[in-house]
Amino acid sequence: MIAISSFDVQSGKSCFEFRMGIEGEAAAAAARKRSAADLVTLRDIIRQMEELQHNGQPGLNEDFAFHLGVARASHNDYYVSVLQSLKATIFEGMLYARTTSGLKTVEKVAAINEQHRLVLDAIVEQDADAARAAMRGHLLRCRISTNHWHLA
Amino acid sequence: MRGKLLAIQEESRAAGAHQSLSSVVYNEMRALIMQGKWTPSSRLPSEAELCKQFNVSRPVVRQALAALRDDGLVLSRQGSGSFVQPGVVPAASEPQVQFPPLTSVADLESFLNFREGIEGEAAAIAARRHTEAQLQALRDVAARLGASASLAEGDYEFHRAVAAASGNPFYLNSLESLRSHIMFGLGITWTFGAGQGDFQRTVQAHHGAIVDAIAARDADAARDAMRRHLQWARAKLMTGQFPGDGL
Repeated sequence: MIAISSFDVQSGKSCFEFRMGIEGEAAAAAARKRSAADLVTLRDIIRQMEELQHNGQPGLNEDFAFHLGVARASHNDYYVSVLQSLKATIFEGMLYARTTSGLKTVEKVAAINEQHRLVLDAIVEQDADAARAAMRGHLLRCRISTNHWHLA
Repeated sequence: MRGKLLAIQEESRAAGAHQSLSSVVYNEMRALIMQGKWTPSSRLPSEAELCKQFNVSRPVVRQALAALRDDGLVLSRQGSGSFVQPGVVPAASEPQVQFPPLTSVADLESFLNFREGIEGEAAAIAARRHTEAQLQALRDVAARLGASASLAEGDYEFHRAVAAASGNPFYLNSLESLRSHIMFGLGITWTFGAGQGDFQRTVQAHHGAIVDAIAARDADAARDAMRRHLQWARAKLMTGQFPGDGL
C-alpha cells in the first residue's frame, strides 16, 4: 500500500501545477539571461544523469539539481528560493511520479533526460518561448504520472 | 467528506486505476491525523460511525484501521476503541514558500519580474478554475479599492484574491509569504501615484480587465492583463513615469 494520503496527492498535484507556472517562467528568463558558465553547469548535470541512466540509477538529486540550475540561470534569486523552500515536496513528487508511472527506471530516466535536454537546447538557443514550453511540457508529463497515485 | 471521497473515487476511475476502497478510507483517515483534525491521544469515532461517515462496510473500515496501526498512527484497545497515537506530530498543512528580503534596487527589479511570472500564471489558472464564490470575492475586493483600508492594502488584497481564485494553495501561500515585499513596492507606488492624475482610476481599470478575463474563463487574456498591469506598475515604480495607461 502506498503510504500517501489523499491530502498529499492533492498537494502533490497542486505542486506540479505551481511548478509548471514558476519553472516555465524561470526557464524563459534563463533563456534570456544565462551565462556561459550556466550552460557548462547544466550540461554537466545532464551528462551525469545520462551516465546514471546507463547504470539504472534514478538520479533524484541530479534531477533536482537540473531544475535548480535552470532557476539559477535566470539570475533571479526569487525563482531559486521557491525551489529551495519546496525541496522536500518536490522530492516527494519526483519519487511518486516515478515509482508508479508503470515504466522501468531506465525508461523513466531516459524520458526525463530527453525532456531536460529540450529545455537546455532552448536555453542555449536563447529561445525564451521554447524554453518555457519545454519546461512546462516536462512538468505536465510528471503531473500526469501522478494520476497513478491512487493505485493501492 | 463523502463528497470528497466520491470525487477521489471518480478521479481514480477516470485515471483507469483499480481503487481499493479500504485504501481510500485509509488515506482519508491518515490525512485527518496528519492534518491534526484528529488530535494525538484522541479517541477515533466508533467503527459504526466510521462506516456511516465514509459510507463503507465494516470490513473496509477494519482493514483501513489495521493499516493505520501498521503505520503506528493508531492504537486499538480491546473494548475501548481506537486512539490516535499520542506521539503523532501533525504535518504543517502546506509547505511554506520563503523568499529572500529586498535589499537593493536590483532585488526590487528581480522581484517585480518574478511577480509578473507568478501572478500571470495564477491569473491564468484562476480563469480556468475559479468558483462563483471566488469570482464574487474578487469583484468585491476590486470594487472596495481605497474604500476601507489604505489604497496599497486594497491593492494587495486584490492580487491576493486572484491567487486565491486559482484554487492552488501554493500560489496563495506565495502571495501571502510575499506580502511585505509586495507592500513595500505598493507603498512607494501609491505614495507617489495617488497625487498624480488618474492613477487610481487606471489601476481600477487594469484590475477590472483582469477580473473580466477571469470571469470569461479566458486564461490567456487573464495572464496578459495581469502581466501588462504589473509591467506598467513596474515601469511606474522604477522610473516614476507613467508609460501611458497600459491598456
